[in-house]
Amino acid sequence: MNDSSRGRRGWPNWLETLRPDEITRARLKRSIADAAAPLLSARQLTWWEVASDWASLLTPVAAAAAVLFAGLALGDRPVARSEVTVAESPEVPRLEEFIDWASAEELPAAFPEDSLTSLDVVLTSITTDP
Amino acid sequence: MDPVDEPTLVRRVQSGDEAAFGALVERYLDSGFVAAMAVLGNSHDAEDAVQNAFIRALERIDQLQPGSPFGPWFYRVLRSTALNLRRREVLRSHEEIPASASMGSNPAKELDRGMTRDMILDALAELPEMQRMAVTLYDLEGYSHREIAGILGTAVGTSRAHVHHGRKALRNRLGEQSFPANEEEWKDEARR
Repeated sequence: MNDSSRGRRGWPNWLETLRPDEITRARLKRSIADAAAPLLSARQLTWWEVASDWASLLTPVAAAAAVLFAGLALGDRPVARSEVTVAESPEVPRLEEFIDWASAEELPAAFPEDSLTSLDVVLTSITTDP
Repeated sequence: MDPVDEPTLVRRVQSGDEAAFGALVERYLDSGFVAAMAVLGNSHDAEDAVQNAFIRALERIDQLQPGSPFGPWFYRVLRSTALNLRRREVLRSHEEIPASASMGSNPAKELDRGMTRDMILDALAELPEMQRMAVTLYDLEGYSHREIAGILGTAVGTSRAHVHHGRKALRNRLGEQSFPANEEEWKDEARR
């Protein structure tokens, strides 16, 4: 089996003769660097865009969470507080007053005096008829 | 650069770190160029292949499994890029300009180096592509047959055969002095 570190210890002579000269090396390095620059920049942008994408994903989630918590906070307010407010308002009649008013004025209108009399007549006629 | 750092470098490159990518380029530029030369046979196409391979590797670096070494994966990308380049028949038909033309500190020595390089490229050109790549990766990176098999997409035994036959052909062509048999080959020969 070959030794993987041979390449770092130096090349055999026949390969050394194929090694590029300094001018070729410099030209190659420059052309590779020029061609690679936009690709490397795009990779940096890609990472930035990934971060931006996460931010854009999390923003609506955070907004939805804020709305949810606000809703929950409002829902936790005691219901009795609003009843007290209504009961203490001088313009709104209390429940007992409303019932008194209904029994005194609405019920006689619903059951007029004549209807009770007619019923007595009917019952009398039934009992006296042979 | 310590190879154990490669997974860390890869992670940094995945997040767009220019310095980390530069470190990988520095580590694999020469060896990638030599491997591309072995496949394509001239330095201009090898330059194109290496550049394209690094860019393709950067584009697809998310496909590299976390913790995996960059090297074998990069050579797979490089080989595929070089073969595509050759398949599309966009190889230049110009004559190879020797590297010595741009150096000049010792013209006689550089001319000799250029001639030797041409001899090696000619010898490599006579090998099947798989043997060329297998021998180059074996000597270049010291990869195991398992790693070479992974890069070439073959069985481990096939990789071993490619290296053996490729080295033997190069030795016959270039001579024992410039292409000595390594320890493993001596053992293989002794077994036969």
